[in-house]
Amino acid sequence: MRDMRNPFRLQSAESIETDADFLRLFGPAVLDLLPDGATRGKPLFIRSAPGGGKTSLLRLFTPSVLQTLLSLRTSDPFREIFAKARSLEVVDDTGIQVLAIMLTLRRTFPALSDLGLPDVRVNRLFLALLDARIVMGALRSALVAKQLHYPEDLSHITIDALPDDPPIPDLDLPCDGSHARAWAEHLERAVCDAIDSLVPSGNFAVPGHDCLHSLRLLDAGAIKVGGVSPALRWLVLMDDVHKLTALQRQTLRATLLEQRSATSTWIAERLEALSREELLANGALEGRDYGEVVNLEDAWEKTKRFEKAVTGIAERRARMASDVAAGAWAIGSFEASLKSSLDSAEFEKTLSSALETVQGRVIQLVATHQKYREWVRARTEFDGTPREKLVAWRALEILIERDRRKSQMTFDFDLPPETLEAREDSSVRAAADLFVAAEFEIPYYFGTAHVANLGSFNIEQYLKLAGDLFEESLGAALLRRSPVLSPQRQEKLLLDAFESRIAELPRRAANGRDVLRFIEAVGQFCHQETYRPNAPYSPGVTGIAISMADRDNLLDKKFLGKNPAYSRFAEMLGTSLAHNVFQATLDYNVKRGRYMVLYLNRLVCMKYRLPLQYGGFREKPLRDFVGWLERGYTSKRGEELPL
Amino acid sequence: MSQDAMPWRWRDYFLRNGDDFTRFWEEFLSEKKRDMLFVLGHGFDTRMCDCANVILGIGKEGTRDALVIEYDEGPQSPSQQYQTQRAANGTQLKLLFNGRGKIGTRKIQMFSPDRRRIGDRSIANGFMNIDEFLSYTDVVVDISALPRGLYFPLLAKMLLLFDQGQHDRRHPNLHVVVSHSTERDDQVVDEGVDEAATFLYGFSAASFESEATRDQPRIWIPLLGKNQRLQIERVYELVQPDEICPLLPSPASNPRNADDLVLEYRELLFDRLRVEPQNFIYADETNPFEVYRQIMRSVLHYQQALRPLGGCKAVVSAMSSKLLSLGALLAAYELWQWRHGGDRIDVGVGHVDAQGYSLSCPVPAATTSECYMAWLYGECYAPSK
Repeated sequence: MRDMRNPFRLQSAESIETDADFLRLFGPAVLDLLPDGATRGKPLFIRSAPGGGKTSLLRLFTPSVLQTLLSLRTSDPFREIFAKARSLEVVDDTGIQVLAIMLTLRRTFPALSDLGLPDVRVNRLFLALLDARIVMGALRSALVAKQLHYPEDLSHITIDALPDDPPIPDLDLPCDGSHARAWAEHLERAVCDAIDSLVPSGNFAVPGHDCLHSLRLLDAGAIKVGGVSPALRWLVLMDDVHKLTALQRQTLRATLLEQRSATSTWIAERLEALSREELLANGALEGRDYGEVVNLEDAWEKTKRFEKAVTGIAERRARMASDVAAGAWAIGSFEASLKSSLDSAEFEKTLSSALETVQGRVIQLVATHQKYREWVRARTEFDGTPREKLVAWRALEILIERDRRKSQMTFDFDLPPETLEAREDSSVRAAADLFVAAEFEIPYYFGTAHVANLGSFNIEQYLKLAGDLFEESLGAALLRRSPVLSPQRQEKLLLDAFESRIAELPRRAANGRDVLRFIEAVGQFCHQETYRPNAPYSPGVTGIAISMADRDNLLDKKFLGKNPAYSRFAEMLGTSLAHNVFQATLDYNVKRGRYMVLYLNRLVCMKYRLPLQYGGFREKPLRDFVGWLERGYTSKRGEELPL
Repeated sequence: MSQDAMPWRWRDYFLRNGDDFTRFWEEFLSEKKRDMLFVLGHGFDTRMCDCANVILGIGKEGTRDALVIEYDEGPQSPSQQYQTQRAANGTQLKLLFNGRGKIGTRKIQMFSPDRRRIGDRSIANGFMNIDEFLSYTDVVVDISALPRGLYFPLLAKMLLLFDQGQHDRRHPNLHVVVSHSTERDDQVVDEGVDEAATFLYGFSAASFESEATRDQPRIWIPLLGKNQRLQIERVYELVQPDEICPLLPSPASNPRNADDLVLEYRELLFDRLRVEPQNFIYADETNPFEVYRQIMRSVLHYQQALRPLGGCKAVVSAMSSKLLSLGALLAAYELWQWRHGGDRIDVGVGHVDAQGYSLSCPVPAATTSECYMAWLYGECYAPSK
């Protein structure tokens, strides 16, 4: 691999040149998100926002990568990947067990719909082109798996006759690999030439296919190398399926369903492909026939493994940089380059001063509210670092405020310390941590854990942030300064990253300006709700919610047709979900009903000084949110902490 | 494929600008009666009628018709905020041609019912026959207010029709004009850039992406301009090139222009895209034919050098001024035409559209635009007897 100054800048799987480098940078934790039996049977739908890691996941299963993995399996860092691949039954110590064919469907297929042909004809051509590419891919994969060369060694391949009808149009079986390749290339060429022709003739020689004949060949084990099947099973990996037209996606699903192929198919698509209806309906396809859906962002959230996964990826990339650099350039560990604590001489004065201020406020309050004396006494006995003490006293202040708000009618008996312990949970402490950071301008968004959270379960987003931090460390090392970034510097860089990313939204996304406007409104609202003196939604509010009934309105074409403001909101929301600006959770049950919760991307949370934990959200009628998009959010005065 | 053996259609070229532009048209229109058809887009760019204004101002004998390309970028397009300016341009156009000739319109469908972009195919399919041009001696295509995604396939189609009809003695001259201003170009900002790039219709889009030739090395030549980072990223994701040869405008009116571009894209070019510093190529900021030559030379060189690997595929992307992008178009067209004889090069034009445009400075401070004209087809290229 060419020298890589900052390996974090390699963000897409395709841009990593060699298979060995790809494996070196691959984070194996994503394999844990795959369901059991993923390489057997029913189609598997893999979805995420852009940059979610779908293509990397698929690329791992390609024969050339697996061959490389096999040859490197006994050394670090490949050992772990091999172990996981083996548990998925795609490889074992003897070789590749599941032979994959990877196709990217953004190429050529969508243009078929522009030929001015009837839908039925377009569908047939679609399946024919898919067949041609699957067959070519199968020939290539079969040779690679046996460490032969494509296309020179095609004569080693034989394709048996199919056991049942119908025959494959224009392909006489049995035949050898060269003949099959010629058939496939001719078919592909005919389709491509028709698409490219600036003077369409209307004459189209390709008859098209009614089903995926290529899957029939794979199911029958008809493709052999040296007379032997090259692997136990086949796996067809279809990437960028979101680029197909809606009709083509429907045809693909229907064909897979109808054929019930024994060959497993993985379908990777971006969330943006889903219609607004599918996005808001969570694209549910699960069931007996369709197979499973893995939404990568949701899966990371549920399994709670994202931080560990991306930290592992970051360490691999940092090591790669140090592999190609030495001396002052070498920064061997990403985690080590980020200071993760405020407990240092640098912050001692600030923390002490802040502690005095908070203690002073609490004591003053208790002077007129004697019932909290025992709480204060217990807190005075608390021992910890300056920051821990500060957070503890601020938490006390929050709890006193909460108690004051609900106990106007009770007697003023002293509250025992046990009640303080019972009420002070992690969410209150988290709110206290956030409040003191905002009030006293203490860094909050720093350290490997927070950087991982700011990735918002999206690998690309994480790599961009980590890349900016690593770039700073590299610069410092070059100038012979410490490459360890202070908490303040980390926070500044992360905020700059947000500003440049968000500033680009109007350019990046259709309806980008509307998305920006709505983010601003939601951000301001969440900030106001979070920074209430009693922190009622501790650690804070980072999302909004609408009732499922309101959600249904956003899917109702008739309703939207009559209400342009709602239609505009629905478009904006679709864009936001597709670009991971919001993450949606459907059918969230709270006592008042079922809701669709929309959590802000964690990077947006940073901008509005919100916590990075999930949990707190506020529900409102849809009309309120539509109004925010139209007119902006007007904050209510009086309730918010003066920060 | 030896460079010397190639005909290089526009090796010798005809290019005029500024005062020379006006002088040329004065002499040209004085020679004989010329029936002219102006094909131009109806947009909000104030430069839309600049060139027509100069040419029509010369007067002289002959028909002066206009064919206006109407395109709608959609109700959510940021361009909609400039409807007033667009209407004013339309009024100015009507006044210019009033009493001189007819104004026809051709509506271009930009999106399919399922919201895919089809403007490139629509505009190319809007011109199916050279017959509609044969009653004119000169066809002038003004690209000043036409988006790149439209004028590339339009000109490719027109060149093809003209080439196919070349034996007809009536076939007209084809000129391309543009009102060029670097400052004004910098003020036009793409908004709502499409999530994915595509290959424009009219070149080897589908063939480029074929599975059969996927092992062929891919060479990408992006013409760099300001504020195109997102577009560069998106086209890169589409092309996945093996070699990148960025083209920088140099010499340029701002001598530091090329340096500024490299600085603007430093991290992208060198850290992410891994461009080799020796791969940069340069062409005069104001000469599209220089761009054409540089691209042709580069692609043919790679085709020759990579012959043992079966040759190469080439992609050009114009992320620069419209003037320079013309050179990319000509190179792509000529290389694509060679696919029918002798060696074959699959050539794609990698492009990414935007939902619309906004102006960073709504009212231009002063008109520093200059009219350029490139004569692409006709009398000046006729073989000598």
